[in-house]
Amino acid sequence: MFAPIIKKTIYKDEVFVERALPNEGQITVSAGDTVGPADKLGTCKVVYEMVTLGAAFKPHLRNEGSNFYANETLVGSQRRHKFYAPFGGFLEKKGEEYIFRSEERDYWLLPGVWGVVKDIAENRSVLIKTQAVDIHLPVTCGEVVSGELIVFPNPSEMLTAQYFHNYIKTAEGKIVYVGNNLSLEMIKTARDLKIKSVLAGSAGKDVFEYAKEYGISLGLFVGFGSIRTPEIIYNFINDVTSRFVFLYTDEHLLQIPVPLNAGFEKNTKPGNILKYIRRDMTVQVLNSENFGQMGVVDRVNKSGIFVKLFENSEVVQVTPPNVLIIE
Amino acid sequence: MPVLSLKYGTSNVNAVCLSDDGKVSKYFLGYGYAKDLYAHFYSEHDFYSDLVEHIITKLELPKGNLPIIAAGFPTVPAIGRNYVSSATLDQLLSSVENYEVVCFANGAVFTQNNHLSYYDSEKIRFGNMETNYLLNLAVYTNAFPTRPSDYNLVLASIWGMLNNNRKGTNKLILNSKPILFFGDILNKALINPEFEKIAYLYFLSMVVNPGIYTIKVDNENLVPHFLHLRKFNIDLSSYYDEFEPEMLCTLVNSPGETSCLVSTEMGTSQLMDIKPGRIFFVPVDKNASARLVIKSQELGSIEKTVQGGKLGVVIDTRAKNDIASYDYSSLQMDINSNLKNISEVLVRL
Repeated sequence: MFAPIIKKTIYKDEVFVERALPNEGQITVSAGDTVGPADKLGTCKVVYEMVTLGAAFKPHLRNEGSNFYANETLVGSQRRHKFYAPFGGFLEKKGEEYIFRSEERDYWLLPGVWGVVKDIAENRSVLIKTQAVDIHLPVTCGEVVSGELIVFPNPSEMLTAQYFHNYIKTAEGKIVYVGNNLSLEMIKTARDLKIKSVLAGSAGKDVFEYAKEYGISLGLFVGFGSIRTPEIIYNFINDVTSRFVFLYTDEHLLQIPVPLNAGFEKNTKPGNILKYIRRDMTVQVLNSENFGQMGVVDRVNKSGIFVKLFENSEVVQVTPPNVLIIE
Repeated sequence: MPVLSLKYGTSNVNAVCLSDDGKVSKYFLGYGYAKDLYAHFYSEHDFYSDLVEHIITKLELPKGNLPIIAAGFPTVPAIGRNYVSSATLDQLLSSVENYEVVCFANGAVFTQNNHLSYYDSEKIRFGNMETNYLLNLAVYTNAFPTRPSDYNLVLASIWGMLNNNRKGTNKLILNSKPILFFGDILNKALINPEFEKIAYLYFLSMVVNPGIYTIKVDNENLVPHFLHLRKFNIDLSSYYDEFEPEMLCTLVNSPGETSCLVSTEMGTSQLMDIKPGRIFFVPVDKNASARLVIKSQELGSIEKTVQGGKLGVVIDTRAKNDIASYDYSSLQMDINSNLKNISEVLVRL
């Protein structure tokens, strides 16, 4: 019996990553430099917080002549509503509108990857050649994002809420793997915490629709419903928690940069997409009863393929087309 | 020189080969290219090139200079060989004169003049588990249900889509061409007898206008191949002309109370008064005919000689043409209550 191969993890040794400053600034590396994930590539000034107050805003008259307001001091009023500074910052008029912004601070551009600087766009961005492992995500939505990967240890739903709240100070902008299954409650919490992107083994249609509606980038390692993340994938991402990663929703890939010579085999394109199913191969079964689960081929005979599932060691019988070979 | 005919579906590749001596051999491979599964490491061109080479090997065909004709939808995938003829599925089906065709592809339904996509249609609201399963089938396009309830779900979604796109369901139809059902969900290579019964009940439920119909099935999906062979070379048109799909039944759609006198060739007669909302199976062999005298409010009084079939003559008094009131739950009740009846008639015939 034959079935196609699906590559779930692919090592690539020629990956180009562009890292850009949010504003024009200064690039501090040169082409040919070798960089690590935490090295500084460049810097610029960034306003981290800003409130638009509109044209009807009336500034509070002060004698000092300065436009700086300390935290919680009165800045002015909009009709009857007084506006107190939510942070120490400056009141400015841009065109007809008033804005209140925080002080500009230094922003440091980091590579997040191990690699060599190949090219520089003056004062704006750096192109780095690196190497990475791509993990396949059959279901994705939302924009392409990058950020620090946080991996929860496949917790129960109740514990996930606790994990989320433990990260409440630091979760913003991160890519969080929440466990085998992502519930609607969890993704709502993730949105409240300004998490940029969520990964899980599976999720329901309601979660997928919610993510699409609120612009949360979502990646599922298996599919819809309640299907566990395959152990081989979980073990891999768990080893790289806190790493800066790239979620390419358009390509159905989670890209994890790795150091040079990290021991991965170079990806070679399969000679043929179809392979004869043999004992000890890792496969994914797609019969109704065990949809999406992975296991190892125990034996093959005329009546079908007998697969020992990783999840519970149960041996189940499947026949093509309800089987895919996993590499 | 043999000729290889390929039909690419979203979830499979179906092949028919005509040998030098005109013998027909078939091969079915239940996998198709799904961008979400393969695009990150394999192109569609390479995927289908590999599959076609595999089929050529399995059918023990010569590797070089083999004439290949191919059909697909919306396009015919390119492979590492040239096709001597290529056509889209809708082009082929539009040339059918002697049947009303209903082809179920993965994600769409085709007739002679039209095609409907599940993704563009309003859908039945299923429960969470069912919805998630259907979404998984849209990702893992090769997956085929193994539980009758899941197979029922796939057919229900098609039934819902057809109902949402129907017009003029009260028109009485007495001189229809035979309706021919075929497609991936009816493929002999994938379904078992349990699934077959469910499919037949759906086919009966999908023909809704009052009237009398001949229902046929092609469970090997040969029609597109034979149509393409005819288009490719007129000398090969006999395969289509002589093709006899399986006779499933004569369907009498007579919503409401119906009185029916069935007289067989053997000289036996049976008078039946059938209550509204029933599916009544009259066992008449596919090689036999029966004279029907039907009286009902919808059909009036009709006399007609009809052919039997795998399910005999089916008198259906459901108001399934009233699509506002005949809903998914009514259909499910009818499917469940008639599975036993259909099993009995299949055993008898």
